[in-house]
Amino acid sequence: MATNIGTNPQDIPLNQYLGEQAFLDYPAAKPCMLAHQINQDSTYPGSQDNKISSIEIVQFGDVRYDNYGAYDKSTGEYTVPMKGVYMIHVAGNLGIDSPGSWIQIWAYLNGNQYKRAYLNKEIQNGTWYYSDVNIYVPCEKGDILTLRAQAAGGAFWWDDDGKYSEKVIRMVT
Amino acid sequence: MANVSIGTHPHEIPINQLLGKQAFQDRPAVEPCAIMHHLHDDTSSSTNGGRLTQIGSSWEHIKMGLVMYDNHGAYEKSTGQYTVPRTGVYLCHIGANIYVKNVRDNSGTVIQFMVQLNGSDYKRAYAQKNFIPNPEPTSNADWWYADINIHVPCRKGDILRFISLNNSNGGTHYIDDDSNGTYSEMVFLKVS
Repeated sequence: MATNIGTNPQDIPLNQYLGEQAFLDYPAAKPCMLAHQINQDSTYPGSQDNKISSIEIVQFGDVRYDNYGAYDKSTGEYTVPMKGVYMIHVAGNLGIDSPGSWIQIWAYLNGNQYKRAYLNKEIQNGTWYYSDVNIYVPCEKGDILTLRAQAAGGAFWWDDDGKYSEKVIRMVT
Repeated sequence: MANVSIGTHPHEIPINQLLGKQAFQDRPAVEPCAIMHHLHDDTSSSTNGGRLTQIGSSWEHIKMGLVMYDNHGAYEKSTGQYTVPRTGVYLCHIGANIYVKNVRDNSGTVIQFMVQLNGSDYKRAYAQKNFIPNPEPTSNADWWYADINIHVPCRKGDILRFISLNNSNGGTHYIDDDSNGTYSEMVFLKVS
């Protein structure tokens, strides 16, 4: 966008001085991805199609928003487009037909463990459990964030008709 | 804020007059957000708006009547609806203490919340056995604190709201409320 004030030779290319941001009415939307778990793998390849036991990357295949094109649903990796603090969030209905002693839900940064959340006794007496996990990670541009999960001595899955389970990675500041 | 000009006389350009203050604020405009709390006994709807009755086996709209913040005037307390003021991703949040009455069984899905987008179901949050001790309780009343966070991509003008039902056999629940609204909140917030 080129916005000038005045005419030659007093022409002032304001964008060159100030950048486009100065002339947006609203702040730019922060980086954010949102995906749901869908059970139709043929339609939404990338959704989790197996039960989770040993640690693995959680892939939800129905990507409903990704304003920086930063999420690769084939790998589940989110490449941070802008330096900042990011939240990794997963909220969904967990199917647990063989409850082990615990479930861990992880935020990984550049392939390394960053922070884990636990489900403990709350999974012991049920075949279903709804959980909402939020983990905050300071990131540099280009960092890779993944959501991972594992179960100790059992297995579980995120329920999957497209209204049960959401995964969000977004910049908060 | 003082006027900001580029150039010197006689080519001075009063940029603020041309563009408005917004262009030169250091900080971005605040994002759309509404925060509502739930008040005790707001049958006096002139002050509080739609109090919830106990939620049973049919879907009820969640209406919280005490508006703590609503920078776009987008929440309608008589209906519980939030009309999206700008296109983006919205966080729909409930943080509430929930009174659970006459829920004796600890099997099946008991309490269901749902965010609706333009009247259609978008995403659920459940409470199953989260709040029921094992073994099953002998009393007919229990409490469960719900923290629900659901993200919805929206267009300007879309309508968001929460609904809830109780799927147990004869049980009900309601959102806790006191005279100051300190128990329960509902938030709609643009996050991207």
